[in-house]
Amino acid sequence: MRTFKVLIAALIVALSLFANAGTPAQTETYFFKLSKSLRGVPPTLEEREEFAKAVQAGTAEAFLQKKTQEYLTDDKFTFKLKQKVDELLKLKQQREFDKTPKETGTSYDRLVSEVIQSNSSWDQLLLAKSYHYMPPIPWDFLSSYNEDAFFFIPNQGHVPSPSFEDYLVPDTKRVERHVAFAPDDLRIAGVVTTPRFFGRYVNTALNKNRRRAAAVFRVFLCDSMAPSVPATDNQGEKQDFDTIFPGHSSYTEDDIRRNTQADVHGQLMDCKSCHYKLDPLGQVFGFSAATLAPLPAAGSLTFKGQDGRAVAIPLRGLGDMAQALIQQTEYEKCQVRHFWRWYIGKDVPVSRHKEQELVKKFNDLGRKTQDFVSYLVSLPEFKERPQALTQDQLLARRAVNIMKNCNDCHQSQDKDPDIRNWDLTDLPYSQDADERKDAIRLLRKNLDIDHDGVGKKMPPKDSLWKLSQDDFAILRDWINRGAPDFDGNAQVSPKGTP
Amino acid sequence: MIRFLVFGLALALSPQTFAAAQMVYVNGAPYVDFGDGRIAVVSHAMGKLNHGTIALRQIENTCDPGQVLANCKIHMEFASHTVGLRWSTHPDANKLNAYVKRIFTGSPNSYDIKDGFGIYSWFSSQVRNQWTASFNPDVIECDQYDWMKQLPANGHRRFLQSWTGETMSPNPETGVSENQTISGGFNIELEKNAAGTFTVAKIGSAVSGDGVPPYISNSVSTITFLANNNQQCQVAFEVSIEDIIKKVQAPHFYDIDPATEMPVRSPIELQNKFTTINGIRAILLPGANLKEYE
Amino acid sequence: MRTLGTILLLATVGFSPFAKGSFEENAHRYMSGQDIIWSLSMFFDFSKNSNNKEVCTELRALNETLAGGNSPITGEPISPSPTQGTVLWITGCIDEYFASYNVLVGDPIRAKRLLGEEFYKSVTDFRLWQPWADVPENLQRALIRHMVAAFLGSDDVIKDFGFIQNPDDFREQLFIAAQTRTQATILQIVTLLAMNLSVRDEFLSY
Repeated sequence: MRTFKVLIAALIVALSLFANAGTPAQTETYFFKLSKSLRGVPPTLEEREEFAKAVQAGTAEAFLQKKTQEYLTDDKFTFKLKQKVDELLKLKQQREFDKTPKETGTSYDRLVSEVIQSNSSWDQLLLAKSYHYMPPIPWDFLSSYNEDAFFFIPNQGHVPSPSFEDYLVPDTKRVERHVAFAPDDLRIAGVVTTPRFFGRYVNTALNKNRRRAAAVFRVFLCDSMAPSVPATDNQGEKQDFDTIFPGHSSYTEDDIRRNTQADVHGQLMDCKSCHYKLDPLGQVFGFSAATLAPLPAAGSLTFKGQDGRAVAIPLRGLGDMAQALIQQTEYEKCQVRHFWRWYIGKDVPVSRHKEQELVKKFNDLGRKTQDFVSYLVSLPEFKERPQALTQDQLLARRAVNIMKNCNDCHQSQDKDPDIRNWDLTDLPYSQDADERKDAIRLLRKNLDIDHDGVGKKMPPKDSLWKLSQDDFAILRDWINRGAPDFDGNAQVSPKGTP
Repeated sequence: MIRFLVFGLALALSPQTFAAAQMVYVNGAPYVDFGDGRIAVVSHAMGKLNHGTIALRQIENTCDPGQVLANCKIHMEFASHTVGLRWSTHPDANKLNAYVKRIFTGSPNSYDIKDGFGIYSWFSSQVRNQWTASFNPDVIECDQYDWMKQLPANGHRRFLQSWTGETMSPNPETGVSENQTISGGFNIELEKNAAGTFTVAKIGSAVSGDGVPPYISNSVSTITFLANNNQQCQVAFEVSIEDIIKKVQAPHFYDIDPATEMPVRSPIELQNKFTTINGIRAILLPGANLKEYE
Repeated sequence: MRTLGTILLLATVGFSPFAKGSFEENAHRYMSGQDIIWSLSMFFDFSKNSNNKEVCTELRALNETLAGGNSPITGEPISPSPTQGTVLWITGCIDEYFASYNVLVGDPIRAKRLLGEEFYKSVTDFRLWQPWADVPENLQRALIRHMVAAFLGSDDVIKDFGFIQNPDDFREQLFIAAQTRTQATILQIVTLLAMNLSVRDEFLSY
């Protein structure tokens, strides 16, 4: 039995077919996609019969809208979306559907599930000040987080003590706990101040909570700390230095010497491109180690916005951090991109214009989770049958993947507004043919694509990011084929054509 | 003859049923009543009191990077702590006060239902166990105390927001072992002594509920505080617990001092005592074969 | 289940080609491991398996790498698309289910979902271990028609997916393949059909 199954498995995996060139998914296909995407199972046979009747009666659209709302309130939808949040935070995947969230759920699990289930604003993932959880299993200490210690120690200085029954008697039922902090408690910030987040992003003396800060930047602002290119002129360098060492103008020689000794890593030009963001935010986690500290700690939210603005918001604690984050445009864009990736697909590009539309809708809907998902699954991009990409379409995607690195620097640091506002990942580069030609010529020349970057101007010599030979090959191929856009349409004449 | 044989066979074939064991409490102490005349008490005891030294080599002071780094020692009294299930009532007088032994029918394997691997100092009495409260508090002695200059102070008292210790252990989410802060306390107060050393005088709360001192670490121990100018400061030490380990590994370290044996009164004494906990839970399960406990 | 005929049956019945191109860049979104377990549970109650029921009803260390799980270290899928292991996991669970459980007697609701109303009503006369060859052709075709629709969807959905251009031809292939198994019982044919359909892209992705 095993032999033939292995053979079949080999056949299945070895062979592949291209799909036909794409056609819009028919309504019934959309129904299947809706059901599988939202709740992980195809429509039941009974639902398919109901759908067929609705189609005959001309009420398919209303039927699908009703089903969408029904699926969004299904426990399976909550579980699936929570899994995506777990992946985003790089947490261990929750395995058991039936036993969650009430029976085994930690404070993090319960909070995320409740935000989804109650169609709350997505911001509650940061703003929540109360938690439900099951107390730790005292007799199985190693397998469960000590949520009691995490939440009670900072408040009361002692942990609720289990009883002898809790430890010793096999059938003792555990009773759910609820802990509510004051709405203005500066220490508390939703999922960030939960044992699972603290447990995933542990702290050490060397780390000084930078790991937690980096996770916050990545998850909530989509800033993955790409290495920057240091400023190459005195004005730029001074600006950078002012941002990172705001008090330096009053330093004495002794102060400078001491600072140099303090944190050599943080002094290096390339390192500071991340540390100027991480260190002030790490300070906000303050004295929190394995559990929440009894007192909040001050720091700041510091970064350069995508529009080049300098953000430096003083924070009194993690509660302030939560409030500050949800007000940033980078937060809005980042969260809608997460949802886009989850429900439309990583491989479906989002243009700037589309991103603006999504952000507007996200805000118009009060950032409510289910409502925004409902909107996404009504979009043409969700309804369209995904198609196998042509070579040109694939090349376009690979090319912009490389260009993302250019965006990371240019969009935040370039002094020339034309370059700063040029989104190298947004194709086509212009509606005007001459402008497109100029853009491609500029790319070709500045990167010296034809010679694998031997005479390149970009990226600069001291950039931490460099193109590989494969990258040059992809870009060369892409440009020679006319720099096709995502639909496979050439932006310029392919090489060898007039 | 045949009737006797049949009866004997029936007896052999019928499932062995015992009265179920149950928990009973006498003066707040937990006992396991086996229902057959045998009773066992959940008890704990200390080992001999030991004195040990932990070496702390300062490696960082973020608020005063030019400071001459200090070398310190923590003088600590500590003892082992054993929790287990002992016979308090038994038809065989020889078994009284012995630990309940779990045996396996048809196998030579057996084990005592007890846990003897805890090591505790005065520090833990402030956050959980009371039985170490009579130990001398831990004392810090350094070759110089420059690192304390910026600690908030009130007379002889110095205040630390947190003092934590790191250990290499698996990340609960990824399973990968890494250094992480798992022990220590918040709101710690140090009291300056006449000799110029400092006693750990008070601990507000534990970092993780366990009561393990922050200087019991195989890595780094870190003090954080708010300096008088409201700057967040961190002083870190590299820890060596060689002396403690040597003493723990000495013969008879875990031997119980019988004079200290007493019933457990607080459930918190059972924390991390897995053999005892799981052993008792197995006894209390319906249908447990109580003949397999001697 | 070890004969060459069985191998040929599945080979001729058709295979489920996974979409070309990397998972990140192209076409289909595969269901997660939990989705696969939920979807299969519409037809099979794997808690009735006599062996390995946990592996078929829960995600655990043994099967989560086969089922699209993410590595918590990187946040990325351990495997970007289903693998041979995924196929073996699914088909193994189904095989064990039919071997250890009389679905007709034990679970009429799932039995009807799996076999279709028409075939379900008639099979009690045949019983599942009677020869497939004894089943009237119209019922054989009814079973195949139902199972294809139950697992993959209507003809419109199948065609829209793009792998099967002509669902009638596909069903005919299944029918012919089943007919070549002259010694097979009804249960064996149902098992093979279920195993084949449940690993197709049309079932596992969207």
